[in-house]
Amino acid sequence: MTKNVLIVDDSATMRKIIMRGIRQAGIDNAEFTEAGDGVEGLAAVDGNQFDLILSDVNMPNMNGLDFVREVSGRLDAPPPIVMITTEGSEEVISEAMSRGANGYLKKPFTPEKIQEILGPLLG
Amino acid sequence: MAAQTLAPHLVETLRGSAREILETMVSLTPTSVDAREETAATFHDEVIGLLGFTGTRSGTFVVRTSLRFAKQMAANMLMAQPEELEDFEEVSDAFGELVNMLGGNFKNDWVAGGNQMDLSIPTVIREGQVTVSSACARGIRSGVRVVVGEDRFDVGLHFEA
Repeated sequence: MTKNVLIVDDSATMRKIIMRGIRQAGIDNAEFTEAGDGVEGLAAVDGNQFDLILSDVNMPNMNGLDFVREVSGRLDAPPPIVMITTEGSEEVISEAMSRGANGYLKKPFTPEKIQEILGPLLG
Repeated sequence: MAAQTLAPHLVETLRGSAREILETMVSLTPTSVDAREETAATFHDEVIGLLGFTGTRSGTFVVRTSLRFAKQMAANMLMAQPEELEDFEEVSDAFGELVNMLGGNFKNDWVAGGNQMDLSIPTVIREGQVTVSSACARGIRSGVRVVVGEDRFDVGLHFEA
């Protein structure tokens, strides 16, 4: 069954790496929608249903922490949200979790790590 | 008074994260990743990535390389050939992400030591001149040089006084 995944990251390169990493992890049932920041991410969430949202933290216009809070506030049953970030500090992670994120994947990452974190959410 | 250098364990963080990022995200194995003194405060390299930070200390990460190697790294990240990258924007985006990961990984260790650090969005400049303001007393400058075959990039960390 196809899973709709929203990737929110201001780097087009990183969005491609994430998509490739998910495929390399053996997860081949995902269809992707891309957004370049939290504002674009919210627009995508307003018009579509997603099974999983992956979001960077450090982005222009609306950062990932504010994006998570907005999504959690707008949707009655938000999909799982996983932060994909270089910022793995406890402070940032606990802030993301308190705003509605369900997990995080630290950059740089391997396909094995993607499988471990995202596999259960896309299985 | 000359600018100081970074604590050894933080230099090791820079070295380790540079190696890990290159191997994991760029699919390149470094020939060497060595600590080096960052003596300059003005740079003229072909590609320069900048990431500012504030917090316990303010400053800038400065990552520099040749256009050729920046293109090679971007191509590897995108699983493409360098000649397929027609636009510098693609190179800039990939290099910016590299800078972002280097800064973010350093931040994790810096914050674990009880400090605060807020990172800017990375900026990438092609064939420009950059001067950072750490060349004064109490400033700290440190760096690592990553060599891959005949290519290299330099990661400099400049704390303002």
